[in-house]
Amino acid sequence: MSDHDTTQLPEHLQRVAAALRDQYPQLAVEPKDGNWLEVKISADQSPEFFRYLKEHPGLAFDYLSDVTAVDYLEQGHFQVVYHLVRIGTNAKGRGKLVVKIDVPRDNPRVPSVVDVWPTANFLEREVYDLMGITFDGHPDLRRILMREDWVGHPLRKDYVDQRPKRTRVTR
Amino acid sequence: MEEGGSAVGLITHEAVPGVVTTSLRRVLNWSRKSSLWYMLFGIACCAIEMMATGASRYDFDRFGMIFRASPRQSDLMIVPGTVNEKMADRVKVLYDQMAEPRWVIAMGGCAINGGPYHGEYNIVDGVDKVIPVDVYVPGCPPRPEALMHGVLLLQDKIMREGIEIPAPAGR
Amino acid sequence: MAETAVTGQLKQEATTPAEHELFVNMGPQHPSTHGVLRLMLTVDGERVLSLKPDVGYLHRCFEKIAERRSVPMVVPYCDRTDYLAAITSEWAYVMAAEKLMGVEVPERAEYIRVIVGEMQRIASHLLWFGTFALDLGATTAFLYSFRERETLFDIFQKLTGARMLYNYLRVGGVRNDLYDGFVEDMQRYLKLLEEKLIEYNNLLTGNRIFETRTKGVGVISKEDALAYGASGPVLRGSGVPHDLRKADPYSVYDRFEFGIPVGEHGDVYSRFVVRVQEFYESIKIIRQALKDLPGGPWQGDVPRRMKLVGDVYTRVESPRGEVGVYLVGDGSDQPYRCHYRSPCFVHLQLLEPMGVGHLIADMVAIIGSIDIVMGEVDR
Repeated sequence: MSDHDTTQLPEHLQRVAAALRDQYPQLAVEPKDGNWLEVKISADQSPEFFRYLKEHPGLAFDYLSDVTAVDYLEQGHFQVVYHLVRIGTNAKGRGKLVVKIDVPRDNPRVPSVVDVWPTANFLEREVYDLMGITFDGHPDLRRILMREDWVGHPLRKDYVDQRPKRTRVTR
Repeated sequence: MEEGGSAVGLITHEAVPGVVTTSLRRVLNWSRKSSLWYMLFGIACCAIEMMATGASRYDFDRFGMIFRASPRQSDLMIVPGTVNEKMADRVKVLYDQMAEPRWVIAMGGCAINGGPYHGEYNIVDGVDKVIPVDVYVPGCPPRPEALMHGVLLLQDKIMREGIEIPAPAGR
Repeated sequence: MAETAVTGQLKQEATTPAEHELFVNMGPQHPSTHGVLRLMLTVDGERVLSLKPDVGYLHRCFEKIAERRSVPMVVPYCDRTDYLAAITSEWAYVMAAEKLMGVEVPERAEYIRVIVGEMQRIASHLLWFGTFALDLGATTAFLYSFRERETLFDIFQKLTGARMLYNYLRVGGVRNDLYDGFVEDMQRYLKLLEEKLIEYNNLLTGNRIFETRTKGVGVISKEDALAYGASGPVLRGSGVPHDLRKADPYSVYDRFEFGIPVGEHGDVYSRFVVRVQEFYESIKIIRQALKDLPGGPWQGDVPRRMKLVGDVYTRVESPRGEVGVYLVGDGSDQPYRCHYRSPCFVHLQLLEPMGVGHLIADMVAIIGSIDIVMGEVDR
């Protein structure tokens, strides 16, 4: 669906799309499954874009539901996916937003959004731990699920398990 | 009373009522099996079934088993749940803190050989790769009856154990 | 070798305490941490100065496993993430798969899912109630709540075959229909539960010792709760009336009338009251669903060869909060990526703001009030 044709969207989503286009006229806004809107941005647009999402009164996305990443090995890039909703605000309508950022596999860096939504702290640490994407500006970027001395990022598609075999222990 | 005598191993002396003759081995083993204090150690889903076995309907207390939070005060370590690379060191530390005589029950598929998670990048395939195990209780999770059966089997195993009497000096 | 690896890790991670401070390690084996959670506390006497949670002791590679299993084979693994609320974990996943495949779920199956989901909420809250009270020293409540849990498990066993990890929801519906006599069994159980809830309230809710230990402890404000991504009873305990079953209804929840209990002060006591009230709301929902239960098939039309295309994010209100599943398909019958958003993982970040300044004993109450399940945190 073309990004200039927002008349197909339900009314409350049109308002969200209009507020987005206010500041970012080139942005492609796609509808998704029910009340979601999807946008794709680049990594360097990232910090201002997220701040805009939270602070603009027509958008007011105050709740970051999830940060995750997908490894598109064949296409040679990672995709960092943010899911944002609005909960405790007075903004009318129930629009929800998916933001996707593609980063190259050989240098995966994305600015951190911990300053905007503190909940991103652990979520970004997990993405770093399992996928190896670095979040610039994160206050405490270290492994969270794997052991501290683990080598490699297990959720990558090309991860190979190289642990030595353990043998049974008897009395 | 000779070894391998009557099944119960106790004979009441008719001439002197209230006197019982038995072997030291039997008394020690009987006292150990009748008061197995297990460590309150819950890793994953099987821990909930272990708690249920200790709770109202299936009561562990009638076997003389109470949970103790500290490994130093427990005789039995039931390992309920998946042991992964990060947890393996801790399980060994806990086992080392238990005083002899000590026994281990591997509860559930994960503790036996990794269960549904066998072979994954972060899983130790079975807790017997870390500590010696006495009884394996299969299930995912094992029903409380199954765990009790495992404990009863352990009690039989304990009854069959021998005690070492140190040889007198000079022999 | 194992000993030095562990102690080396401990030394590395501890911030060097000042003279009057003490570094205390709580967990991963600890009677009150509800699983393998490790808290690295810096304390001054008994007062907590700083707190860092260390997780990953139950990381079982769920997301990697999901990439190498076909769509229905992932459902039992979903059970084992949040093992106390298996149905809601499965629900998020099968909803995502249904959206990607365009499968319609028949009405009867939706009603059965709602009934079983609310039964699961009751079972999970019963266990939370028992263990929370046990942590604070009230052993009787633990035995009582497990007694009710066992009666509920009898019904679950007759219906699904399992006590705890059901593998009951399927893409397009549920595994099997309700058995004959299910409705009577459930109604009898709900009556029993209502009687027992009076007992539970007598035990704890008005108890002065309990109130002193929980009122004013672990306070989190509305703004902080939202900023830190809290959901479920933790968010509602701070005064935000947000429940996914009302705010973003899925399945057939929009057909039922039920309230959303909201706490006032954001402390442990408020979260406790919210969860106890949720018992009553769940009973209401189940009664309505049993009354309006339609006939028909319990499994929709699912293609024999499943194909997942596209990506979707579904959210479900579990007893712990907002469970999300981000599912990406690549045209095959195996998920390309299945990410599980765990509410407890996010809530762990709240432990530090809630716990600093309190005593170690209060930490136990705070951890209990978040209702942590490590299987979900670590996946």
